[in-house]
Amino acid sequence: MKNPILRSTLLASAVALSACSTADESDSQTANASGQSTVTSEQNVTAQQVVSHYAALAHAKYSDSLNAAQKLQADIQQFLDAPTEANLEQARNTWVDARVPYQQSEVYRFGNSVVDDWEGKVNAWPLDEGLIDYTANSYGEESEENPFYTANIIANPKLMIGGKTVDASTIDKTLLSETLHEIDGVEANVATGYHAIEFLLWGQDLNGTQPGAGQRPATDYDLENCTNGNCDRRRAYLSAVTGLLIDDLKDIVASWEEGGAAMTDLNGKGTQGGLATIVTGMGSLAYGELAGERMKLGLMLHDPEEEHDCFSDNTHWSHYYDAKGIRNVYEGRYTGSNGETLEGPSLAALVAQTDPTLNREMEAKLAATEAAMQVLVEEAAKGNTVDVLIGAGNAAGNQKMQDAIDALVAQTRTLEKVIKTLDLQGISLEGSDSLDNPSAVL
Amino acid sequence: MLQPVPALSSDNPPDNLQARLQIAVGKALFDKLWVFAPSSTDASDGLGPLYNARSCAGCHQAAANRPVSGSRQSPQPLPKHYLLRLGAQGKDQPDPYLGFQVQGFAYPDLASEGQLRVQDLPEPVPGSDLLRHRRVLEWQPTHSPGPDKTTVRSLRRTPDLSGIGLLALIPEPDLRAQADPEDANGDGISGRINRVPDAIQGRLATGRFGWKAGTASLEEQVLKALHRDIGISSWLFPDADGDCGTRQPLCRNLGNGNSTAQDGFEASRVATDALVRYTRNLPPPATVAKGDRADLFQHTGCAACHRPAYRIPFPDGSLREIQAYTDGLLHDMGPGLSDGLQESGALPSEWRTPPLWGLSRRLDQGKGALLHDGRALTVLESILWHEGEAASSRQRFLTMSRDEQNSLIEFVESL
Repeated sequence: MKNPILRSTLLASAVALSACSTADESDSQTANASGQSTVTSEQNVTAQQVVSHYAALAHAKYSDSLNAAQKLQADIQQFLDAPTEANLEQARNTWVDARVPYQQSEVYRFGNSVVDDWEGKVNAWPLDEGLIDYTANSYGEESEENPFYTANIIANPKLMIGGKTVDASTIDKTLLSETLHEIDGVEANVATGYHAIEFLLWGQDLNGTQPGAGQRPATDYDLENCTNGNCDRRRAYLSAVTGLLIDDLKDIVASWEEGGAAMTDLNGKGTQGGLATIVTGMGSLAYGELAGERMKLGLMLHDPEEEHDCFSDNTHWSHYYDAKGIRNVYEGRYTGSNGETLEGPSLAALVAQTDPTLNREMEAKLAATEAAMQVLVEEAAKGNTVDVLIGAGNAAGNQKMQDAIDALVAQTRTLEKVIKTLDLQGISLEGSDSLDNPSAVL
Repeated sequence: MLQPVPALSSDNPPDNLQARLQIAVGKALFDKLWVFAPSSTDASDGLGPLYNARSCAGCHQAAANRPVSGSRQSPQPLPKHYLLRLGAQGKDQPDPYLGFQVQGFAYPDLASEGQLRVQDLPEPVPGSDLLRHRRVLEWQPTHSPGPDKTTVRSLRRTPDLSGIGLLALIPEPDLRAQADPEDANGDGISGRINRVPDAIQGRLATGRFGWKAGTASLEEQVLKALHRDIGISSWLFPDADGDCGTRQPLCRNLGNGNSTAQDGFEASRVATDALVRYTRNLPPPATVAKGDRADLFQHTGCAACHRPAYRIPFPDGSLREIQAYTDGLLHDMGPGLSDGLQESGALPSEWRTPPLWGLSRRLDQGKGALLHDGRALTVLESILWHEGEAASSRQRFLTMSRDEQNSLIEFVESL
């Protein structure tokens, strides 16, 4: 299963690909018409190469995510060393940067059970924020009377979670990953990951469907000038949860190396099984997860907190890079945070060899989705973040969300044609159990 | 092989993927991990105060069909997809301290209601040289006070939901025709319809869901599970305290996630509609019975209650057959399966015939968790517990040749 492209450096593989120019006429036409994937479409690629390159992209994305998280860890340390607003702002910006590669990796979660099993630790959503730290009281009188209102780990060295007593006198990685983990099975991991860090950096977003993100003061981490109490324990939590994220990302990078669990699992599926994994990931993320769970649900409920990165108001970028991740898996091309591009045998090229028209259609749909996501990003720049767009009565904003959902649905419809063309079996796209049986609606 | 389920014509817009997106949203809600209130996520908070799982999928998953791991001879902890139902003796009422069921998880700083363990003790089957295992429950309530000393307990496993929406479509007249409450035909089988209060319609209706056919509609069943198992309130069960008992004051003071954004509940009507729709559309198991001995299934009398098929009217007007292997009726299964609990108008020994479709998927090399409490690991063990109205069928099974018995088991395992 070793493929030369896997082994090559980023630069070398780019050179190797552009040096190759023996494409037949129809492939060249395809490449020109699609405009996007000139390099890859000129290749005669094999399915095996496509699957291997898919794995190489996974490794690149997770390595990039790890690097970005290490930068985040450094900035958080700097903030803890000197808890100023400026340093907090810097850490927040780095958190946003760290989401860029990670969101592009989410497409690997579906179809790869190793990734999906791991994912809950780093990206669990929604989050038990009241279990972590103080929360504002905006839930009426009943909560004010609640004697356990401050039940959170940062405020309580000893507390009961899931009905069992927990000694939380020392907040460290072990407490978060093992003690809390064992309490309630895998589902307990809602106290760790990117969103836990996000909550610790931003605090709750109390603006509802009005503009504005969380407003946690830097002094929440200031031992000299502590606000909201327990700054020492809050510092310990932030350090531990960030360290844990690094550990978990290291695990997933190793998992995509030769002999790693995710790589072994993919290799064990064979070539057709590997292709099935690729399209399962693309379709499941686009349809059930992104269009359905993350976008339609929030839109239907007009609920500002269904947005995925709710503390930071970064949801637009989260959706944008999810969609981008799907596209770059199809096109076999990923540009990392350092600007380098990894490119190789793509699913696009494979489809073009069989049905160039279909490849053009798929490319067009992916581009349309990206354009719709771009609208969300531009709206956010104007202050209309996702929580504003989905507000009840904001018809124009609602429509912009619906447009992006429609684009994702349209993209999934074309992906179904790709599945047929490649004659892939046993595909189950998340949220669309029987897309091939379009009338099963009771 | 089942035909694909056709569409509701009024609900089949040209872009069916859009219509299906509501189902996708429903699946998201089915998988959603609920969190404690208060939190930033209004639409996702309200968990507990007591809960069996954080999500529907936490229990309704493939693992729920596996036997309890570890030796049967020593007490083994039960995974969370088992729950202990509680009831007052001889009355259809919850325990005043702990509510309708025991929850193994609780809101921070609230004690859970305790962990469950079981031990399966072998015992001879009357009239045969075979063994079956009686399931003995160990439960140390960690919550004080409670339960009431007269409270009855009944262990239940997580039921399979495949095709559950189709069972709701079995025509009422067909169920009535199948019922024989006075055993007029003298075959020893007296299946009956359980008439229960329909909380949504506000009148008595035919019970179709739950182990005791105690719930009339799938919507009520789903919202009840959401309320009791996860602690999420909705338009039908508006109490944010979930399954806190009336004498459980601490519990009643915690984690209220009701919010105006969710229509004043923890889950809005839009959300629960999507969840119910997803559940209703869960596809039936796409399995085909193997083996040529379906005649044995008829001959023993198994088919009298595990009725192989009903023809049901689909929303498009067509009539199609579903092969669920249930008559949808209550039957007295005798003292061996009696759980002592009076529930929803059913006697402690009465159970709704569980559908056998999808059994092949629920078994792994012939082993699974069968009967209401998962005590039977195999189809054979399950048969050996069939008494009461099923006693004569079991007797016919016991007098068959070993080959015929194996053929019958093979047939059932293939469903």
